[in-house]
Amino acid sequence: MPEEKFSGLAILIAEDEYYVATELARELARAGATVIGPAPSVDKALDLNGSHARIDAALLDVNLGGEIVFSVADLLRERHVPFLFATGYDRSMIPPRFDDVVRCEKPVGADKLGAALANVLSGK
Amino acid sequence: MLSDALRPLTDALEIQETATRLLGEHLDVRAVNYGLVETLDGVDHYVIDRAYVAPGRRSTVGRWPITDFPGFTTVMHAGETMAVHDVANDPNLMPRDKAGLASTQTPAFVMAPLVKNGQPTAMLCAVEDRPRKWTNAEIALVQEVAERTWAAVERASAEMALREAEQRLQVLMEGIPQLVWGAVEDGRWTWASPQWTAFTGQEERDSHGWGWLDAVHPDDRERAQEAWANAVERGEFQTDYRVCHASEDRYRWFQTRATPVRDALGAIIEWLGTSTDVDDLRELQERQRVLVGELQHRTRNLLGVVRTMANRTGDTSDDFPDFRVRFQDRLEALARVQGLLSRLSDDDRVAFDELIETELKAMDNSDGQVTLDGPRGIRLRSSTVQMLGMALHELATNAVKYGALSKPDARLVVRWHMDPPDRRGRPWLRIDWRESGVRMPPAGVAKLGTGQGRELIEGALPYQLSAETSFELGPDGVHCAIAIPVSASNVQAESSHA
Repeated sequence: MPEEKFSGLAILIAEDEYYVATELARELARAGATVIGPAPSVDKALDLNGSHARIDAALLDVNLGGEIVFSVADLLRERHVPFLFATGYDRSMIPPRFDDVVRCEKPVGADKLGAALANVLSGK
Repeated sequence: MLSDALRPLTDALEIQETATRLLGEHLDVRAVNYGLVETLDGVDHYVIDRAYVAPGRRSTVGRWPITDFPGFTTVMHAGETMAVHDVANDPNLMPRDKAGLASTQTPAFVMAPLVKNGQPTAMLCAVEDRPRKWTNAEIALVQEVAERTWAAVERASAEMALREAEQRLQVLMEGIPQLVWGAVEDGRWTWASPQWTAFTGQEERDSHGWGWLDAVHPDDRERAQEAWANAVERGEFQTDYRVCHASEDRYRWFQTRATPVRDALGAIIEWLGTSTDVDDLRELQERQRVLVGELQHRTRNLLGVVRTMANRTGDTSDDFPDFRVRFQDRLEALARVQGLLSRLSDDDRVAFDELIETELKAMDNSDGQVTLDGPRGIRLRSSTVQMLGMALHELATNAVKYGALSKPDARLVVRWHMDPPDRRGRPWLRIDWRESGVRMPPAGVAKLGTGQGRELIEGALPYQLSAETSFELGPDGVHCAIAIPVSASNVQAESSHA
């Protein structure tokens, strides 16, 4: 990931796999982002969403410890925060209202997720 | 007289018997046969199973290849009546016929055939046991009795076949697990099978007209009626809707199909329909959809874990051979955990004692030095098993390499118990891993594996499993405490024991 690619951006991470989450957080921080989270659960992600006035982008794992992340996605959309899904699920498991959301199929490395997020942000 | 005798008879055999007896008595002959042409072992035979035989006379029952009677057969095939006064001197019979008839002791006979669709199928035959001069009236009588008998037999057979078919249909319609019904064009029912009443509890007559809709789920009624609106045009009725199951007091999904019965001009007279219970099927399909999704999720997640494992092991390996040994070791631990998980059926859970025993058993030098002390059967959440298994593996590997299991006189004690549910209703499993008798190297030199195990316990377990953990290296060896929320079913199980 090029240095400072996300310089100054506040990025929320919701990911229940510790290693995936920490690696992602490390990579984003290295690229200049301020990481919000990572959140291992829907509750925690909702808390973070509520407590942070500024969120510039979000990476959401669809399944957080057996709970589905869509309630978080809906709130982010209301705030016009761009986000993308990282998921092990098939497209059919994702509701049609999120058809336009970029999905990265797991397993996916932090570098690819970062690149996908950069695309989402530049397309804003 | 004959017609009067035959009319009340409904059974084909009875008709034959009555006809042959009346004819035999009237003609005062030795016998009257009712013969059939049947194929036996690929050869056409004359078969006489039934005959009227005058009291005290020889029976005529038997079976003979038709080729033994070539002249006779030619006449019969032609559908002509044949009257022979004296077989031995008859100009139309061939020597072979004569030999055959002599063997059956038939010197005189009158035969009236039945040819159906060009095939000789039966014959009525009056037989005498001495030459007899048949009068024209007698010959005509045999012919007429034959015709009337055929007619009566056909009628009886047709009626019986119809009755049997009706009975079979009835048994079928009332025996199949579908709900069967009839309707007129726009979907108004005219009758329903007993299955409908048994399933819905609705009286048959109440289902008539639109009454059947009362048993259909309110949300599905419009769709059912719409399907009827399109049925005539499409020539079929087909839709799924829910029907109320009286004994369960709930709705079940049915697949409903109906086919039109048409008159000779193609106009629809009525519709015959079946409704098939597909509720279990739909439930299974939905379940399968969820399971396939879950499998996808788990597989990809597992690959993600392997990927991370490879990365972390790579970060801390000295060289490739070192990496290979350690990666393989972790992969095997992961496979053991998957093995435990894959054995499970639906509501099964892996118990903690199974998990720790599986992991320690894999370290084959642990005999005698290890004490496991805690209740059996504490069920773990499926999402917990993998990571907790990997943490136990890191602890065990470390013990084998540097700790209690690397020295013959050191010991490992693992104790566990369950705490009552917290305010969120989750019971907690508390695990205490304590090694002793390990003379530790000076502080700072000691390490748990390469720090990877420590990160797993101190970082990953709290993050991913909401665990509370502590890890310390005392002068006597490692002491690690792990507390994790476990399956709420543990509490239910306990209270049901109480």
